[in-house]
Amino acid sequence: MAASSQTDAPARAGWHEIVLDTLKSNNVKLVVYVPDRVFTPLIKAIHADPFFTTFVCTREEEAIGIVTGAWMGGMRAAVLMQTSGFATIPNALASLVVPSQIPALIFVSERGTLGEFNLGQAMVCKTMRPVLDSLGMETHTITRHDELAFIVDRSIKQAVATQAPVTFILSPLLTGGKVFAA
Amino acid sequence: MSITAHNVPGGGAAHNAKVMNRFALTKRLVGQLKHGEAVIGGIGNANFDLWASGQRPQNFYMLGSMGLTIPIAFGVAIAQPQRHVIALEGDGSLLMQLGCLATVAMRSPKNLTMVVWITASIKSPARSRPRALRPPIWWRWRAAPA
Repeated sequence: MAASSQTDAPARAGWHEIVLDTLKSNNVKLVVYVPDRVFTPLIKAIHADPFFTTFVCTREEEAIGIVTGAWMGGMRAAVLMQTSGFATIPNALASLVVPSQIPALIFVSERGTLGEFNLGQAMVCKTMRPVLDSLGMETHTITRHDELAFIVDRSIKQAVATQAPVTFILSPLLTGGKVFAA
Repeated sequence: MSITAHNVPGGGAAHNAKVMNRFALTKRLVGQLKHGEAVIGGIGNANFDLWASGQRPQNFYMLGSMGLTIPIAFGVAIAQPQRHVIALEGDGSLLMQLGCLATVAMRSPKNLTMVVWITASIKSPARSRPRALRPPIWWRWRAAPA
C-alpha cells in the first residue's frame, strides 16, 4: 500500500487509498458516482488509475441502473454517493437491485450526523438505515481506519458470492466528514 | 401477454401498414438480431411488445424502476464492448431520467442503440386501444469526430 506522506511518521494509507486498493484487488473495474466533497480524494485517485472505468452521473438512481447493467454484463461495479443522494434510490433498490439479485457495491459518504448544521441533511440521514434494514440489505457503518480494509474486502466477496447488494456508510469518524465554522 | 387483434392492425404480417405500429416494429427489430445482441425493455408497453416478439435469454424486462432502461443498457454496453446493446424505452419513462442522456453522450459508447417510442401516453397498462404511433427515435451513438 502506498505511503500517504514522506514524513518520518509511520506510513499509514489514507482511507481513500484503502478503498481504492480493495476495489482493485477485488476486480471492481467500474466506479460511477455523483460528486461529493468528502469523497473527492477517492474520486480523483480512481480517475487517475487506468485500472478503473469511472465517470460522473447526473443522479444516484441513474448510477444504480448503470451498476446493474454492468453486473448483468459480468463486470463488478461500485457507486459513490452522499447521504442525501441515497434518499433518492429506494425505489431502484426495491424494484431492481434487490429482486434482480445485483451485488451493487454502494458507498455512502455520511452527512447529517457528528456536527451537521443542515437540518435537511440531518433529517434525511435518519431515513437511511431504516430503509436499508427494511429491504434486508447488508449494511456496514465504517468508523475505524483499522477495520476498513477487512470490512470492504470481505463484504465485496460476500456480495458477489451471495448475489446481494451491500452498503458501506463511511462515517465522519473515518473520513473527517464536512467541517463547518461554528 | 396475449397478442390481440388491436395490438397488430392487419395481423402480424402488417409490415406494409401505413401507420407505424410499435409491436410490428419491435418484432421486426428482434427478428433482425443475429449476434446475441442484448435488449433491455422498458416498463410497460415496450416490455409487453418485447416479450411478445419472442423471448430470448439476452432480453431483460425491466420492471418497477421506471426511467432506468437506458442506464441499465449503458451498463451492459460498458461491461461488454463487443456486444451490441439495444434499449427500448417509452418517452414518458425517458422523461423521468433525462439526465442519463448527458451521461451516455459523455461516454458515447459505439455499441449502444436507444429506441424511444413516442407514444405520448404514460398510462400504458390501462389503455385498451393504442394510439397510432409517431415515428420512434432511433438513436445510435457514434464516436465523435476527431
